[in-house]
Amino acid sequence: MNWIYFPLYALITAIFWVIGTSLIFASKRKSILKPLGHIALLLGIGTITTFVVILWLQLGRPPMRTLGETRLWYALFLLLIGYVTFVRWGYQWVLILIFFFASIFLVTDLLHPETYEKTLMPALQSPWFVPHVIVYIFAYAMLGFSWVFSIYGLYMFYFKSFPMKVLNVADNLVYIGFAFLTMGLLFGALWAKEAWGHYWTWDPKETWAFLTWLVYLVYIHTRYFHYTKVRLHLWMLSFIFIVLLLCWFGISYMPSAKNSVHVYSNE
Amino acid sequence: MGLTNGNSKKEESGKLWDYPWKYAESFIIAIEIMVAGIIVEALTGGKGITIPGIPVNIYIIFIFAAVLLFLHVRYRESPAVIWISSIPAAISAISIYAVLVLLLGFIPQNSHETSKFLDFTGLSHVKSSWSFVLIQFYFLTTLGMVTLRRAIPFKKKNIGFLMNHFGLWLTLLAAGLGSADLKRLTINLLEDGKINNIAVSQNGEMYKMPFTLKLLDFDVVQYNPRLAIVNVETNKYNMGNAKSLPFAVKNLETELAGWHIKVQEYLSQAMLINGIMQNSDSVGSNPAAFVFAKNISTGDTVKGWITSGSYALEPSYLVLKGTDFLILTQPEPKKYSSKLIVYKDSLTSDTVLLEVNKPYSVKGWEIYQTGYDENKGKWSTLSVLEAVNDPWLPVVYFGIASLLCGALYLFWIGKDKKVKTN
Ligand code: HEM
Repeated sequence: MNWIYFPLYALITAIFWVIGTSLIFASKRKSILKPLGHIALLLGIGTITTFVVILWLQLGRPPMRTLGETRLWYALFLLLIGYVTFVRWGYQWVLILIFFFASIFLVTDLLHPETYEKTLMPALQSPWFVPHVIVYIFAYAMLGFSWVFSIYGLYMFYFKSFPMKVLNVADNLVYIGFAFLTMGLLFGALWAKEAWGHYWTWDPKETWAFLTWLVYLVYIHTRYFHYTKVRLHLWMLSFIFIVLLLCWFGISYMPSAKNSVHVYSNE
Repeated sequence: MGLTNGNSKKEESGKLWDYPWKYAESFIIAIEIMVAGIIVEALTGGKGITIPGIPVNIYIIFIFAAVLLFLHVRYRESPAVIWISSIPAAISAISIYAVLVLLLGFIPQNSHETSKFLDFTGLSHVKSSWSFVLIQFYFLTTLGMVTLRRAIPFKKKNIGFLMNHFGLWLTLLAAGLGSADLKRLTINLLEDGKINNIAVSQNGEMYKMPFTLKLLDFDVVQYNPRLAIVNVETNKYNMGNAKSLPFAVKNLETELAGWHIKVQEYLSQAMLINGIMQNSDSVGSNPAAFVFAKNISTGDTVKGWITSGSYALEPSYLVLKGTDFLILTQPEPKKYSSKLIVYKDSLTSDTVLLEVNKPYSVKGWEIYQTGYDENKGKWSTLSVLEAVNDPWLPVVYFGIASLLCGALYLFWIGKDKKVKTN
């Protein structure tokens, strides 16, 4: 089977990304390096895509069935989304962050290449599974970073002088993260329709995801219209991330979550 | 833009309720609406509100939209209309709505152990409570009015704004009012060769479907069971350092809680026949594994057949040591499906393989595979289906599509450079 060659493909992908990212970072001094960097990044994405395509052809089915296979898609989509975000917004560190996340999945596949199928309850075996989760991973990563900026901003605000640029970058991250949060929520709804018959059932996890979405909505709107109220927004941004984390980790402890389909036992 | 300026301070002399209204007035109004909801809830006995179905909900939507349009066209410059489409009103609506969603997320809903207090405030059934519905109405009024402000007169640069705000308005309105027309019915089918066109609602009402079903075959594909060491006194797994229990497959060698275990033979459907474990198609047969277990420190060995058991057979296990037994767990379902004939009328029929995640639509109904007799597991002759009819789905999907485009726009355009600075 094709998985034998996986380490090779993974390695080439990683090399391309390391080279690409380094070139991009170095291109501040020599701008000719920039296009080369882009080419390397794209070749990296191309390499992992090639692997997925070959695997797909050999298996004769979409490689989405085993956990190892889904991790491949995680890595591929993350690199893709990260690259697009970089192209659009020019944030170089997005490349490093995304490469870090993608590597987790690739390395897990290298260490545990179980290609046998783990138990996944039937409702989770859906083509929506991967996009839903990927989009959420990316949204959380971006919002997490906006939080880091808010903390940095608070530090600058109280102990140094505050450059507005910090909040502006954070805002863009919030917009990007919020866009993906919206997609994750809606993909989840579309999937729920396929799997459970209705797109929204106020399942506790859905409720908390929606709540997270609402608090970021409040931030976006106040921020837009009270641009100069820096301190308020720094504090707001650092607090709303807690709601997100509560939703992410705290859900299993809620009294309302007893029957949630999103709370899985640890096997 | 520039119609309302949330940033400008109210004139110093301005008292509460002098225009322009700001956050104080907005939040007072939002909270009053919520409190009004609670009062109505308590006065009506804490039963919540019943959303009317078609056609009344369609009239409501049209009247609501017409009123908003009228207000916009006729009174767009009046301070109250400016306020309702302003950021303070929006923030108050989103915040109080979020508070109710928070309560909905915290308090177990429609549970059996409820109290008078929870019922009369509507907290035991938030999504159908008066406060929730009224706040949603306030939310949608604000959202609708700001959408109109940007939509008429139309400007191209407002497209992203409109996709988001109109998309959300339509989605929430259609999903909320449309919930009255959602039908989710259960159809139980047996592998008995009979046809069935009766479905049952959650409160036990029977419905005659516009189609007829016959179950040809119900099938469960299972994962292999797992090997586990269980302490029969505490009834807990003894996992040792293992993160997860291994699946039983032929020739598997593994270590579990100080034992080296080898699976020499694995049969997915087995039964003891004349004292010999062998593959069998008989109803009730169960997975079986012939295992060797060797204690890593003492060298003790145990071997023999272990089985998962089924509704018809007792499981078998090996005693390793004291209260530690080696067992095969119950296999988990990987996939289950029903082979059906769907008779649409006297002339046309379809043969369908219905699986989880792969609904089948017929005559406006969506049919889902939802369950089976879990007691019998693989040998269930009962297939439980759900028939769903939601005439509002196209409208909701239109709203969702608009929101998705809006999200892409948000990602690509990001924050408009021309932010309001004061
Ligand atoms: C999908 C969810 C939403 C998104 C992505 C969103 C995004 C935005 C953005 C980016 C702006 C800045 C103006 C612009 O882009 O030109 C804005 C303005 C505004 N939004 Fe939202 N919003 C959403 C939901 C809501 C909701 C639920 C409300 C009210 C209940 C609301 C009320 C407003 C108001 C009043 C403005 C000010 C418009 C003006 O004064 O011209 N929005 N929104």
